[in-house]
Amino acid sequence: MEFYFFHLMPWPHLPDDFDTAQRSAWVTFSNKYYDPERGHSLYNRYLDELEYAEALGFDGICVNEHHQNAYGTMPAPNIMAAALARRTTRAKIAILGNALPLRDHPLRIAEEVAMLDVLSGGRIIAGHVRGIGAEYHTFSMSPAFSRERFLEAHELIVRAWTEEGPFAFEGKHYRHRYVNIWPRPLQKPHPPIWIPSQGSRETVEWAAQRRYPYLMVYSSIPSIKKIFDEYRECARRVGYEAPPGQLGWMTLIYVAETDRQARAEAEPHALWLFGRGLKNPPEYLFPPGYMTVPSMLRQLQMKDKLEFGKKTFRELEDEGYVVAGSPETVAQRIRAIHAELGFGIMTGLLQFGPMPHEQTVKSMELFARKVMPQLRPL
Amino acid sequence: MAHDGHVEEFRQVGGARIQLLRGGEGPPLVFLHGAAGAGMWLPFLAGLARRFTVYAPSHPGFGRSEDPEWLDAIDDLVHFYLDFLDDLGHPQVHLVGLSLGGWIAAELAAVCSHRIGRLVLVDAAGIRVDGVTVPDLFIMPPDEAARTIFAEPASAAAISPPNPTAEQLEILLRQRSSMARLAWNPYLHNPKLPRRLHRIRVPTLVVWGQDDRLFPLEHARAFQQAIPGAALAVLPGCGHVPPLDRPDEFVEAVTGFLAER
Repeated sequence: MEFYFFHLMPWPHLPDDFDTAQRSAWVTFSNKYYDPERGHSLYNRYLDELEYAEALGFDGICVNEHHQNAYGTMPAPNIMAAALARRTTRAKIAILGNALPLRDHPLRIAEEVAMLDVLSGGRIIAGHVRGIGAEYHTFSMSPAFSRERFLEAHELIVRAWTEEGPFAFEGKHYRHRYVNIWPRPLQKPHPPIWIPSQGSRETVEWAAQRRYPYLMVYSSIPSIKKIFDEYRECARRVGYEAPPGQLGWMTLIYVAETDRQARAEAEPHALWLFGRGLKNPPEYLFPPGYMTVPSMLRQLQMKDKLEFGKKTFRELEDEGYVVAGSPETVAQRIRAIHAELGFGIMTGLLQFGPMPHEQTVKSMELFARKVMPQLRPL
Repeated sequence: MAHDGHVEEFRQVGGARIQLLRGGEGPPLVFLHGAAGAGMWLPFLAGLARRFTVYAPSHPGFGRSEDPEWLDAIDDLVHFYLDFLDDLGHPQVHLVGLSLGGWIAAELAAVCSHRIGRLVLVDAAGIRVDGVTVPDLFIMPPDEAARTIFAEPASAAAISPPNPTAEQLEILLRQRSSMARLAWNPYLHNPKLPRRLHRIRVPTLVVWGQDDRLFPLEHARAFQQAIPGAALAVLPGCGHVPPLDRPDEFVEAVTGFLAER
């Protein structure tokens, strides 16, 4: 099993009346609540935590892209990846991911990721995502074109990384007479592409066909099981057995000396993440056209994304959104879920919500020193 | 056929298989529906059918019409309706468009006035008026959207049942997706349309709900000023959808105008 340390870089300083006065932490939540002075300290603290994850032996460190929100203050993940590239030497740097359809010039993503790959000595993992529904409100970009833009931008980027330029690209949304990026990426044939997703059937099939590692985020264990089984089934249909290294699970992890202590310390921060950071009404999360009609009907049945804000900490634990406890308990729990899901990529969110630095570091150290060694052989 | 009856048929036209409701007798009238209400023979259509042969097609991407892969923008629907009018075969039709359908009707009239007898634009989308902020229906919760659109709560229930069947739910989701394709950005308008409205060379009535909270009366006046000779009828007690809020008054206003010589 490989271990990845994921950071969202949340903005924890919400107003006291947030729960009643704000419909969401996204799109329309005023940036008057962002304080750049405190932001300066936070960015540097968060980068310290990512760098420390390498020192502790994590295989990779992860950043991602979200816009206009307090959940994660990283609209440009490639900038954070650049900062990390110069301060780390061994760990993979996973950008999970760049939101392709939001760009009118996705060639810029091909260029930036190639730069990062060269700069980091070939340590980049390139996540390709669509961005969540809210992002289409933020960019005033029709979600109905999101999927076709994603597929087209993806093709353009892969070709830009792998084909000798200059060549012409003629798509519906993107047209370039001269595709000829400098630099080219260092890894061959190109940086690994990962697909973090919410489980739409089209994306599962598409990723399985291309053997792209699929990362399932913020979902209950039964939902993840269903999606991973679909992925494996799709792989079989195209003629291969999907190895565990193509399946990733992302969850919140918190380790303390005892179970009781871990739960007490993790609870407010986990509830912040699901109840506040991810607070989004359906109109923000699933704008019309963002999903195909069959996927939308399926989402209405799964309801994970719409209801996790109401869950208690105990429910979040039981359903696998959070793993918290002593090193023994956490190792056992992950071992059991691993047996059920069969993933090879363990992506842990070890800082979440307003969790302070000292607490984050303590949990990271316990996880890296007492949990990871037990699970590595899996 | 009874005056208040109608038939449903499906036609292959303009690159799509579409649903078409038809009823009534008299001169041909094509009604273009708004974002909702496709494929429904509502009381105001039955009212118009007392004097006209009413054709109520569901736009491609709406109602039981198919979702063609070519549907990206409003001009795709304009060109679709050029084919539709050819297929219908009448030398001229009266054209009545509501909201989204009013936008299509205005675009269509600007490029082919010769196919249109008289034009009625009802609380039409399609233009942006300086200084007017049109509310964002895509981000509103459903109850707020209903309050924005309808003066009468019963109007919402008429076209958007509170407990939809599986088919109705699927149509609802498809229609909303089609709206996102056609009208997300630019939001519910075509920046080029105002410059083209002077091309409309047919008698035109702009009908508007006095209390339209989506497109306030400034929009009605902008259409009226841009279309040569256009008249304006403002209906009291109506929001964005007069034919649902006040069907009798709506039918009377439209029938009266279309029957003028």
